[in-house]
Amino acid sequence: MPMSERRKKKKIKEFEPQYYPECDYVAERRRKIINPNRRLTKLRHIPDDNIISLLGHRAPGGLYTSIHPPLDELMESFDPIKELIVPSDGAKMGDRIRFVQIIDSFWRPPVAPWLRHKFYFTRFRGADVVIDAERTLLEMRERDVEAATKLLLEMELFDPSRTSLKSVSHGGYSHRLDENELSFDLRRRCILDKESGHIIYVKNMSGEILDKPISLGFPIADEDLKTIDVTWRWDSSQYKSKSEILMVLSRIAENRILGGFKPNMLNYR
Amino acid sequence: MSGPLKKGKLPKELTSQMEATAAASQYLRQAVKNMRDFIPLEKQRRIYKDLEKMFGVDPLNLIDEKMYMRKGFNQSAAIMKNKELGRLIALDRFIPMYDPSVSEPIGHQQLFPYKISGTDEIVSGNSLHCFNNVAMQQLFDDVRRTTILNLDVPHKVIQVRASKEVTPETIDHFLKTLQHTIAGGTVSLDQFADINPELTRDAYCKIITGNDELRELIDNRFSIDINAGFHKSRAEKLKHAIGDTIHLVVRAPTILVRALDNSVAFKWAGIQSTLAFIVAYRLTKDSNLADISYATQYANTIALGEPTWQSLGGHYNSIAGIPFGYIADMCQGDSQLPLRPFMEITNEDPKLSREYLKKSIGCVGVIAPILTNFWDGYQLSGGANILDNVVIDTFTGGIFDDFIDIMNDMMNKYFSRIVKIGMNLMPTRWYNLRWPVENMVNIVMETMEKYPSAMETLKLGIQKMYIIGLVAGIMASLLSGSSTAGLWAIDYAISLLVKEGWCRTGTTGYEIINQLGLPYSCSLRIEEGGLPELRGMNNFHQIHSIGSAVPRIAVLYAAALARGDAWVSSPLIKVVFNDPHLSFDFKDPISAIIKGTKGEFKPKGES
Repeated sequence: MPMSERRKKKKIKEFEPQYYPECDYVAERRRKIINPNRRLTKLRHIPDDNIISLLGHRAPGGLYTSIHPPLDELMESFDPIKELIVPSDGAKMGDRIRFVQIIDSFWRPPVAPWLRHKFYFTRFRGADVVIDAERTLLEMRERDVEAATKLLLEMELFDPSRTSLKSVSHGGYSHRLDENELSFDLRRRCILDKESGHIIYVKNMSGEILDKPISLGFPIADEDLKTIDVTWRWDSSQYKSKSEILMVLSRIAENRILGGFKPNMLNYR
Repeated sequence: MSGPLKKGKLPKELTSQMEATAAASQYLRQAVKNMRDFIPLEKQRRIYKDLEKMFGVDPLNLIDEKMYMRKGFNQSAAIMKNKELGRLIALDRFIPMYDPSVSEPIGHQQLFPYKISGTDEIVSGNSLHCFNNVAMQQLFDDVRRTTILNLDVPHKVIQVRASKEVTPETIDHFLKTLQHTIAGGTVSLDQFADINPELTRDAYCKIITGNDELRELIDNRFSIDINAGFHKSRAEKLKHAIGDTIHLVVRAPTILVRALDNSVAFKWAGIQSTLAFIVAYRLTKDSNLADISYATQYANTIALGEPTWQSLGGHYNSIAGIPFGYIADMCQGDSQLPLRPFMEITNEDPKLSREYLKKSIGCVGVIAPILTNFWDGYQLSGGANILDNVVIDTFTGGIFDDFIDIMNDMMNKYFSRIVKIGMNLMPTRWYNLRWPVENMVNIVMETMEKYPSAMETLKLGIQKMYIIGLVAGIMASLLSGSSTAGLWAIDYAISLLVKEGWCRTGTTGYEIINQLGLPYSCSLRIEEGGLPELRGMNNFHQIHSIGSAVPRIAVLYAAALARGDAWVSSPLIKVVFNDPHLSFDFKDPISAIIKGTKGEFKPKGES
């Protein structure tokens, strides 16, 4: 068969992004979190009103504050981009921008800040993110942020003992754990109810006392936390024994150095 | 609340996904669980002993039994004393003052004291704040009040234009006159009044020359003795580099930089020297004076720091304008140790090489953070008491010292054998340095994972990144003798290794400079970097990150140590700060800081 015909027959495979290198459970866990096509497991059900109470931006059942009329009512000049991008629910209704800030303890949380950031950008729309060593702040339209928080708290990315909702006084992520193995909270928003074994939030994200305590269910057992750890650790899966990720990182560093020094050198490697 | 999470056990659906890959590491977990052999080994480490003293419990414990049971601010005697003082002042002036009750709750966390590494001193965090510790302020003042003038040019002008003879006797006379003018004394009738000498007792000047014969002809009270200040091997190199030139080191009075600005010290040095020339050489105020004035003040004058960008407001001698190489040269810890390439030393005797590291990197680890803190933490940011937390990490808690121990052992065991094939340095290639740097960073990360109390001591992300960057950079520079390789290692460690390993770095955007740093590391364009020794905090991409300057200074020193060089970037700066008359001890800074914590340090320049 001539080459020209063979080319016609050749099927071009659809591009499949490779989300993360390395082939152990930590990398697999990272791939699962980043990949928007992978389904997350729901671990708990939290009523919508409880989510709103925990966020503390408005009273449950209260109206949303809007900063502009709904988009349908606005007379806007023609812009092709506006035709291409479908606005989120919050944007459609003109909600104000609100946030949710989640702190991941250093001691085996189900997800860590930079991974959380990647998760937000692959799965959410209309999001803005701020990342520190301990916190990840997600800014969205108000009803979008409520929907996102529901997903974040109910799914496998949240462990009430190692992940916490804190907007103010967010320090303490690398402190030692308390006697119930909960991460340290300057304002002690949540406690362990020893009778039910549930983690109970007594204050909302901003440290204001809630009218009614909210249960977020059982903390994940320590052994299970090890199984879903997203970090290579000295006593589970050691970072230094990983070859693929270190090779990729080294390649990135080398290319950056050469590219900054003399980009032509990259062509002759 | 309802859902599939029962009694904290994850559903099979979730764990089974991971089981196949997790199985490979199960054996390791079991091994660690059963194997407690590491605990006796850990107990021998410096970090274990120091943290145990600081926290009063086993530093390997992840659980803090007393959490939420502590007494908040009442734990700290220093804070309670401040509170009482604030109350008394408020009563006195009828305006509220210092009151910790308005602050964010500390949540009953442990307010631990700090143990100074390598000593038994345990001090409060408050005493290590740069405003409470006068020794730190003296260090800052001693640097910014120093200016170096070259005397060769004015001497030539005096000989040629004014036809006056310059001899050792006239130089002595000039220097004696200059001591008077620098202290604020009047020398001409035009001047109005003298400054009280008690206020300017720390103002003086000395000369530096590499010519021993010339130095002996001049009154020895007026010169810095290189032979006495340095080991013979270092002194020879320094004298050779400085040569016959005579440099004048002017220390302006501290009150000047305190009351006005550091740039005044630069101008003070020039104008007082000109006045001293006029009087000592009996010059008339004719047209020659302009030449002599220019020759003295500007022709070959070295301000330690150049002016910064206008918007930052740093003028001459501002810390931001001082090149990193100069800050490294200020450190004098190893001045009396013989000059040899580090690899040779570590090949011979690891204890001796540890001594070298203690005196060199240990000295940089005190001087560089404190100096840069004054710029980053206060002059640039306005002061948020955050950086004070960061700067002390290199000399408290034994954490950084412990990593230096490990680095020394690694150098001795794995790398020092290259000496046998006639090499003192490893080739500066990425693939030679990658393994040691990755290994060292892994050790630091693993240690922090093992020691929850170390994590609590370095509670901010920037503190952790600061230590990791330092360790990685020093390792690469010690091996290769290249400061550029040190920059690679710092940036690689923070922006890639730790960021991907832990999925965390420092505060928001902390690693931006490291992301930029890799491509900029070899760049000589001034807006991207330049020579590592001549970079400074005035580089736009390095200025915005807290504590980022210190690793960049430490790698310069480590590279010079590895090469066996007597100085990092300037032999003059090396000699200028090897002066026994300086108020701050640049040879043993930690002792001065400890004195400062106890209130025993006596700053000069204050009556």
